[in-house]
Amino acid sequence: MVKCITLRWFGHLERLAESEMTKVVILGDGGVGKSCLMNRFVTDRFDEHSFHTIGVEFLNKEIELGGETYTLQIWDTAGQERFKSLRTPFYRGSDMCLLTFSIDDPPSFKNLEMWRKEFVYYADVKADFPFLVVGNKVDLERRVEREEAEAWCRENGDLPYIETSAKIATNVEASFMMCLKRWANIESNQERLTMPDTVQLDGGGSDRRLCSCSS
Amino acid sequence: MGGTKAGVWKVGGEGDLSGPSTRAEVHMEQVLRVLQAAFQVTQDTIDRLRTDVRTRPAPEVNLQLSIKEARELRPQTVKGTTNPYVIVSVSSNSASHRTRLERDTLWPKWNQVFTLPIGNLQNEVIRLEVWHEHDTVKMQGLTAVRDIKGMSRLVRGTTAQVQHQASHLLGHVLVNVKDLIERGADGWFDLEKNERSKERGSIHLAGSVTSKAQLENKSRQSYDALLARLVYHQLTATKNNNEHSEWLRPWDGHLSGPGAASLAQYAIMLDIGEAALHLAWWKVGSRVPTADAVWVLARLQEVQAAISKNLYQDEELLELRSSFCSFIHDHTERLKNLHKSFPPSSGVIARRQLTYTLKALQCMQHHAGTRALLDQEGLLPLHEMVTASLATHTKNWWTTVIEKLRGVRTTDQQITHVINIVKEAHDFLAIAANTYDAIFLKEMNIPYMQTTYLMVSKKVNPCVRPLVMNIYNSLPPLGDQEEEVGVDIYRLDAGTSLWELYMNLSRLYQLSDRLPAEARAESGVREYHRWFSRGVLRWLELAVCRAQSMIRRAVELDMLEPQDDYCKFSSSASDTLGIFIDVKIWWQKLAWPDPENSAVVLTKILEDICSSVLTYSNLIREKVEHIFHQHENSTRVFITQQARTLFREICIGLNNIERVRTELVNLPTQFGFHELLQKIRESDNGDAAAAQLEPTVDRLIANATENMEAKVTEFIDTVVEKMQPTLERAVNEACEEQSSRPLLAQVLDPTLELTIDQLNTSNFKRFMWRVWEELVDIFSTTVMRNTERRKANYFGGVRKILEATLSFLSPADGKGLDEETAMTPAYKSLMELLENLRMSSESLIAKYYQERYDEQLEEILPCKARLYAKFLFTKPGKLIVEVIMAKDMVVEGDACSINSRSGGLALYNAHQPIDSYVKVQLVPQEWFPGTAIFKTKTQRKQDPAVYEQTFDGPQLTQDSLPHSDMSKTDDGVRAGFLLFTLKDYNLPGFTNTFIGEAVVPLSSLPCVDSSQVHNVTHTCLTMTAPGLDIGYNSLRALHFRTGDKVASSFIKKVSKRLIEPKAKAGTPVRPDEDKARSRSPNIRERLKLS
Repeated sequence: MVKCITLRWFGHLERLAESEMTKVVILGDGGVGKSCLMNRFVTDRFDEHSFHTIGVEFLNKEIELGGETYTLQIWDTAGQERFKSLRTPFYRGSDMCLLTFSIDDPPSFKNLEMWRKEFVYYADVKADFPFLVVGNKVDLERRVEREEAEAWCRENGDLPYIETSAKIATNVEASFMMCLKRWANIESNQERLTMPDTVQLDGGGSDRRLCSCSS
Repeated sequence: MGGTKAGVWKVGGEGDLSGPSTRAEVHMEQVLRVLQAAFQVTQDTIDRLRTDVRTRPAPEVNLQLSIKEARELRPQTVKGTTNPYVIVSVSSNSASHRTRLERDTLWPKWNQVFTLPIGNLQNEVIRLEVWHEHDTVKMQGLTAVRDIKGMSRLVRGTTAQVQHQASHLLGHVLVNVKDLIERGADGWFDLEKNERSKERGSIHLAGSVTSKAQLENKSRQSYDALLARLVYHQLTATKNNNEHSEWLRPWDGHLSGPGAASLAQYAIMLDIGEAALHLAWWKVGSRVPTADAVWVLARLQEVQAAISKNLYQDEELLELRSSFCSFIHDHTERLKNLHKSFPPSSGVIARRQLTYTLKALQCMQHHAGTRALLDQEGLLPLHEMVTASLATHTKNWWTTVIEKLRGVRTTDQQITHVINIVKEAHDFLAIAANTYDAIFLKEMNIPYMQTTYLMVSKKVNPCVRPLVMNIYNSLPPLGDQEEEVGVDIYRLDAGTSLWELYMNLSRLYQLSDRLPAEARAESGVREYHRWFSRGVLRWLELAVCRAQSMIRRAVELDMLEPQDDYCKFSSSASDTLGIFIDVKIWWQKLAWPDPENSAVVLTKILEDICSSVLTYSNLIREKVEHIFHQHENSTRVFITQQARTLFREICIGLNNIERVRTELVNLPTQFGFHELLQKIRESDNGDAAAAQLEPTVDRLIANATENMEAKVTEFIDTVVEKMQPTLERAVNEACEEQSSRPLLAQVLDPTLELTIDQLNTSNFKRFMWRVWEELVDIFSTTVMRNTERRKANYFGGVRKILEATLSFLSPADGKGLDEETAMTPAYKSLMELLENLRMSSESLIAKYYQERYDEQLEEILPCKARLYAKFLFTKPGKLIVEVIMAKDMVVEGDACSINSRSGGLALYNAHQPIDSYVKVQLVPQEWFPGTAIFKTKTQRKQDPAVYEQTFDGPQLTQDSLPHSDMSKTDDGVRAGFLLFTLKDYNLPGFTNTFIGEAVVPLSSLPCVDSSQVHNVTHTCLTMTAPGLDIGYNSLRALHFRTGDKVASSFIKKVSKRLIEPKAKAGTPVRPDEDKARSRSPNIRERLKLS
């Protein structure tokens, strides 16, 4: 359950009142399409032969939700093991985290747990940080069942789950919107100091709706 | 050969006689008698011959004994080996010879040749004793003891040493010369000792007997002996035989005067040939350890030249072979001790000696004759032997180095030792690189540095890597407490031991710069920086924490006073930038070697810096706002002294942010990001990687800069917001007084004077701009408030003040606003409004028609109908208008005929008949008093409706047309207009429906002679309805004049005809007011906030 999330802009300092940007980190195995998701979302382009990410990369995207404009600062990380020590410092200060895998690649799904742990450890957040689980490449043949993925999400604190394809532009914007909505909900909850349970349900409901659009 | 010689010996003296030895046993006297008879030799002659022979010295026979090798010797040392040498002697002679000492082997190879004088070939016996020389016992020997046997050997060795026994007999063998020769001059002989049957190993010997044929040789041997003696004497005399001082003065083959002279004489006496001399000198010279390598090489080349000319006998070649082997052996041994044999400290001498030693070895390898001899010994190619020796050298060196790490337990001690090991490795390799590498590479094509570097670096790796990785992996994660206690020991920062280790490794790695890339890729310390990456990231984490608290403190302590006369920012800005410089210095010192990784780490550093910078901006702003709140009461903010101080502080705050912001833009360059990118581009796939990294950093910086700029802007907004009442009052005063003084001289001038001093250029411009916007806004408000109660000349005055303000704010020196850009839409709109407000109502009406006419020409409004008409002035001065026909008429609400325009002439709408008529009049009416309005007859239900009616207007000529009061401004409104209005006739009692109107400026009418009237062609006019969404400035101005009858009645009339967009239905005709107000919603909102 989502409880109190302290947004940290800079390490250990308290959250600044005027954080204009929302920092989103995309994690997942090398080759599951993290950069492609980001590029599809930000520039609406898809590059079949994109080069693997060096350490980190980030893009800005302005997005409107409920009449307000948010600036997402999207950090794309390198999935390769050799960049491990270099990407972890960037986790700090994240507001949201997209855990991605590729539905045609079971090992990448298996590794979600590892990614979640790595993020929780290095971002120095509680295990109930609001993750969003993204199953990418729905345009390919499925080798990870949706039920399987949903089951994992349930077991790991009812994480919302969405399936996307950066290639054919399915649900890409929806996933980021979902991400932002969760964050905005948490934000406003914090301000109102209300119980988060209701939000969780709301969030879940809208997630399901977004998912059904895709298939 | 051996057999025949034996026969010669048996006969004794009768060298010329030959035959099997068995036959020699025939009685000598009988043989003599037979011979005497046969050759008729007298008894006297025989006696004489006999005496002659007997007086001759007995011929000496020599045995060339080659002691080749031994096998399966009994182990003697603790290591289970022996240090064997052989002493050989002949039974008939007391002289003995000794071989070289071989160390640590059970299978020694001596390959040494000795010339032994043989008395009697038949029963001469050679005695060979194989001795073991004891090791000098060192304490470390204890550690090498492996078992009981080793222990007993150690005890024996130690005992022997105590009893001053240097050697121990391993075994001996007596060899009958005859036996040796009969075995084919080559064979193995078993060693024995004390008649015990124990296996003692065996020795490999070869030998051949020489006599008369080698007489020359014999004489050379005596020459050799003399030479050796002289050389020894020479070296002893000059004290040059000490190995340790050998490099001070290598012996260059020089002998003392008398010695050399007697030697030369001896050579002549013995009649030794040149080749033999060369051989002698080489043999002796090559064994002198202190001989100058250059000189030795020269001797070698002499010998080799002789070999090439086949000047040597087999025996001599054998001698040479042995000597070559010794030479090679000696020198490969010396190379195993490279640093001692050729000490780098003796510089050029050692290098020269090494160079020529290698040259000599290379000469042996490449000289066919020499190499053939070496092949007989089964020697490997010499460069391989040298390489092996060098490897042994490195191995031995490493053993002594690594010894230091033994038994070290604590991590700290380990680090200290490892630092030293890395340092020693560096020094060792540096010597290899600087002293030896070039020589080995040039002389023998041995990549000494490369081989050694790889060897050493691969040994360093397991020594250091696990240690460092363990330290970093076992560090606890950073806690939330601000002061990190206890972790600092392992911080990767200048001065810590890990830093020293890192730096040493870095230097070690840099040594590989001179190696080829593929060798570098194999280096054991290639990824040394990665071992530290956690340390680096940890440092960064700590750095961020520290930076945050330092910035906080810096802002707290900041008095907001300029640091000196030349800058306009205060201490906290410098402090903040100082933090970044610290990080920069650290980063530069770190000199992370992998560009790709560096770029990523640098991205992180920059992200952290950007965050810190934002924190700084926020803190500064908070601080200044706090000051602001304390002075809330001072109303005339910028005039009083107290306010001046306050204002200065604000300015400094602004400058601080701006200062940090401008530095931020330079940070990537300062941190060397672009050089990094360049390096990345040079690598494989580098372009793609660079294309990712560059925009990421650019975006990062751009984001931060924008955020800060926003902060600055907000900041300025706050300030200007505070100024607003002051400015508003000043504007009002200026407008009332119709003079720019109250605004410019009393408020703006002192304010700007203050600000231009305090603010830096960019902030000053921002401030000016913001003030200007605010002023335009205030002027607009003021004008709007006064539209209804002021006369036209008031607005003329305001207009002048506004213009003066703009030129005041945009001086020619460029320090202020750019005049062009300062003419914002809001300003232009305000100026136009003022322009209109100062005109007479009639002129405004004329202007309205002008605007309508412009619209008509541009065809931007939908066509309501087309009117065919003819209009002209006749020469005597009369206006003639002929209305011919109207068609394509569209009435509002008639859906079917909307398309009539595009439908063309043929479209006739029978369903909605229009009863049309045309009204013709001169406008503005006020300018043409008493002029009638003409109307055509109504054409019922016709489209096209044909009127064909001519109206004779009043007596008017173009010259007599009324001019508006605006004619001076040359805006096109010069005269009145001819207005055609098309209407749909309704039943009496209802208002007739307006369809469309068209205007024609009277000034554009043709003027012809009355007789030419019929020649003037008709004109097709497009009739339109006025559009609201276009917005008529003239109408707006008229609208404000509620007290003016002309204006209000006109507005009333026109507003009926406006096409009112549905959304805005019902709004009054003040189209531009909203526009003016909504220009800058932010300002409004912000104002409300206060």
